[in-house]
Amino acid sequence: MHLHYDGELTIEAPQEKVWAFIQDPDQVGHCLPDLQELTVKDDRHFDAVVRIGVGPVRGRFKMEVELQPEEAPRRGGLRLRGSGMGSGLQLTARIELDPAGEGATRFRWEADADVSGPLATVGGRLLDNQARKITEQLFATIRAKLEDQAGSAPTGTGGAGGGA
Amino acid sequence: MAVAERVLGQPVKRKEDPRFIQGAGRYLDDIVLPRMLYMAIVRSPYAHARVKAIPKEAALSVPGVVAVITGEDLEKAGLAWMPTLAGDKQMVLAVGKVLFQGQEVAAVVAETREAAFDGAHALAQAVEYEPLPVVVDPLKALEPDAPILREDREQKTNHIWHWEVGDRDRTERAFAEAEVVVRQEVYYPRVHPAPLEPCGCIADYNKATERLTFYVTSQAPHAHRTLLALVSGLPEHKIRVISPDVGGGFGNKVPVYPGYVCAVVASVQLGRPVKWVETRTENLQSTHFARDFHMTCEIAADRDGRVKALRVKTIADHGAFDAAANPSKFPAGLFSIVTGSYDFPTAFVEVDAVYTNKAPGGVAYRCSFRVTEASYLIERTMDVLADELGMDPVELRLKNFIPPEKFPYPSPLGWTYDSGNYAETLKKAMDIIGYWDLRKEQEEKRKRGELMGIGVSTFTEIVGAGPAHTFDIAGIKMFDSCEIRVHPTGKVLVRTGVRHQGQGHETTFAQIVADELGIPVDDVLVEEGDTDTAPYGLGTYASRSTPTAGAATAMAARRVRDKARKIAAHLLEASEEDVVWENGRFHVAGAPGRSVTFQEVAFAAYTNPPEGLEPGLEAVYYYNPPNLTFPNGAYICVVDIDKGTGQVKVRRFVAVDDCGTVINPLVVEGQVHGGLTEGFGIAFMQEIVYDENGNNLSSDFSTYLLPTAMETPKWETDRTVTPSPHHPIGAKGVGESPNVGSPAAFVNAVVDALSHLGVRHIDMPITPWKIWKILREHGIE
Repeated sequence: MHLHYDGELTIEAPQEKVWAFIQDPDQVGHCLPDLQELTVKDDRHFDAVVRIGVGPVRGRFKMEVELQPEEAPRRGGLRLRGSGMGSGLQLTARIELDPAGEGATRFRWEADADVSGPLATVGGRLLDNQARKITEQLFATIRAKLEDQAGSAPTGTGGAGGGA
Repeated sequence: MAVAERVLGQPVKRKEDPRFIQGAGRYLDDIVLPRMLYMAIVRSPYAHARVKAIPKEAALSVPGVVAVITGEDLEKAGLAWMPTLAGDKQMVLAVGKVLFQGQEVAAVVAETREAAFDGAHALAQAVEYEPLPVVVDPLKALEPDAPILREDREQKTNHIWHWEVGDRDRTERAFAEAEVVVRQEVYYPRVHPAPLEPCGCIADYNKATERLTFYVTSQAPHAHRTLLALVSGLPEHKIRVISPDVGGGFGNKVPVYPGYVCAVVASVQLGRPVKWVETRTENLQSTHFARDFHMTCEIAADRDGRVKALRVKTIADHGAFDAAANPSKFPAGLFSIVTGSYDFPTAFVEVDAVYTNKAPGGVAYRCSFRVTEASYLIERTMDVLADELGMDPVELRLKNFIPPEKFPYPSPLGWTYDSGNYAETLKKAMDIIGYWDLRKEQEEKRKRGELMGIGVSTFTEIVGAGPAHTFDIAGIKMFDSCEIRVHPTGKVLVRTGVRHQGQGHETTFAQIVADELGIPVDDVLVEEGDTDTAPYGLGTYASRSTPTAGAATAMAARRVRDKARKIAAHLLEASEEDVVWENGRFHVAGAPGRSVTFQEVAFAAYTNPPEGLEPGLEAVYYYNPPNLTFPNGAYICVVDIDKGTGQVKVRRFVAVDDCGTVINPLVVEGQVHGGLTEGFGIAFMQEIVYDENGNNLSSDFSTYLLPTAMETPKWETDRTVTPSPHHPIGAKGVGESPNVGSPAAFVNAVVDALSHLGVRHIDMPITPWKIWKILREHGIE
């Protein structure tokens, strides 16, 4: 099953700060919804374990993530390989940052994912919405954390949405 | 003395039904042996991937798991690959890479079924894969830049074979000179036999006796024994295959599956019985599919509707391994029956087979080796021609039928049709349904904007494989056999080389014997499925049981009767030549009062055998059919279409079958009802769908739909009888006719309902969504 998503959001934080955040495995890793474990391997790689539930297919999902900066602080990519619940996921994402007025950043992104196994065959008809929800949560958390930091307000808990 | 009523042709109630109806059938999973272990299989989530690591400890650390088998283990024993029936080879467990989703990667053996599944689940999480590009479209698989799927083969291409038959030059000329040519692309989707009982086995290797008892859901137990011996190296006389009651086969239980080999290996290694039963999803994902033929059909004709030539090109999607269950000489099965019921002067057919990242197979789902694809194609394209010519589909058919006087009829693609009277059969179906009144009704409804269609299918099958000079499975000739033992009290035990899965052999074969020997049907017990006791035969599929084993049964009974006559002569103190068999008794010619019954003869065979004659009364017959049989039928379907929802309602369906001599009309009717219902499912509900990554999106019964009593229309059946001239009792076989013949009737009816909009063809399955879209495209709301 091939999935494609894209989107655009404005973050009330300067472009350099946004870039630094999303290129930091520890910071961005902690924004993953339903995160259970995070292991930062180096400044470009991290492993994460998240809980996923798509219809009747539920369990732990392991992900290996590689950040691929291309042109700081403007363009970069991300590669993700995931496995769990007898299923596999390959995802590639591209991001682009632009200034959006005073102290704000326009964040454009698109992602393509290929899913194999029960997540696709059993969860197939539910997967699209579920994946969209997880993606939206991820970006909402990134934005919330960045804007919290920019406003030096107390840091939020980050993990939006409880057990799917 | 009253003339005994012949039991052949009587609607005898099925002898096997009481145990099935009462839940007393004994299926594979009902068998529990002492010290039995259970096996579960780890399968690939990917359609194409390298297998990087299979960490066995993930399963071995699960409580109750006793062993894990991988392809690497099997490789050491030379068992990592096994031969397929099509002359290809198939991985038993993944070696290096996987080629379809659901492919067998490892086998986990445990003390309980639950532990086996837990172990398999744990190992499935731990297997590491490197995904590779996936090819699901057979046309893309043939493109030069397509990834080569089968790296094990010398030929670095996804093309498997090319097969052609017929007269190319003559056919090309006929097309060049033709007044009218129609061309239609037709896809017969990938479907699945989906028997309610999935596949499974118990391998019970006894280390002390060195014997393997192999219980298996098998349509062909003898063939499975020989293949097991050849694959495993175990001596064949030390293998006993037992196929207990089988909960539906439909072709799905002809092949040897990797799970069988793994269970045998596990039992031999562990010295304990090992049971493996697949789940529904495993059945739909990994056992053999049917059809998946991308066909292009062209007919050349005169403007008055006389057909001149037929040309067919087909791409056959075989999935990851060419495991089609076909006779050796026929890689595309009996697809060359595609000229159907029509008198084509010439024809030419080409088939190209292709590998893709899908489950392997190409079994004959209730079909005699690709006959279904052929019948569907010609019946569909004849309607396209009728539309082109502005003729009524029945008039076009009546004009082109092979006339009765031309039988035995040599077809342009090499078959000799045995018998038939197609026009009579069609006219009978038209009378029953009131064809011309329906056409009037349709005309009136069209004026009112209502959608009603009438579909006709007048198919000819080719079944009963087959003559030994042409037909074999993996080298074994396709004869079949029967052994009859008459006990001293005149009761009879009959064993055959086939194995029924609901066809009713315990009743119909008993009727054949009872008829030949003049005894009650209840005095005959038919037993099948145990290779230690039954004579060798090739099994039940391709509507071959009655044409082959049924013939062997009649011939074996006649052998018994020949010996019985000698004993009767002794009892009647007459010479053998003077003894006549009549009305179920032997009597002296001209003196009907001096007679003995078969029971008296049977008793004498053991108590008072004549001097110089062997005691006992039994016979074996191995029947090599001189030709195939050609059952046929005329099906007419009436549909009404709901414009708002696109829902098709089958208002009436009349099926007139000609299967030659009818042994038991009740059984024939049951077979026809079942086959029509399956055909209905194929036409309207079913398709094995893969997404672009090779995920099988139809791997359970919520996504692969079977018709239930809710959806199934009412069937009206009738018959014509044109006996087969070469079969001992004139029977032709009927099990598959309704599945072969009905899809075209359904689709023709739907297309007919929309033909005034310019619709000429719709591929199956015809879902409401498909119709709804077509209606909207034509501005119908």
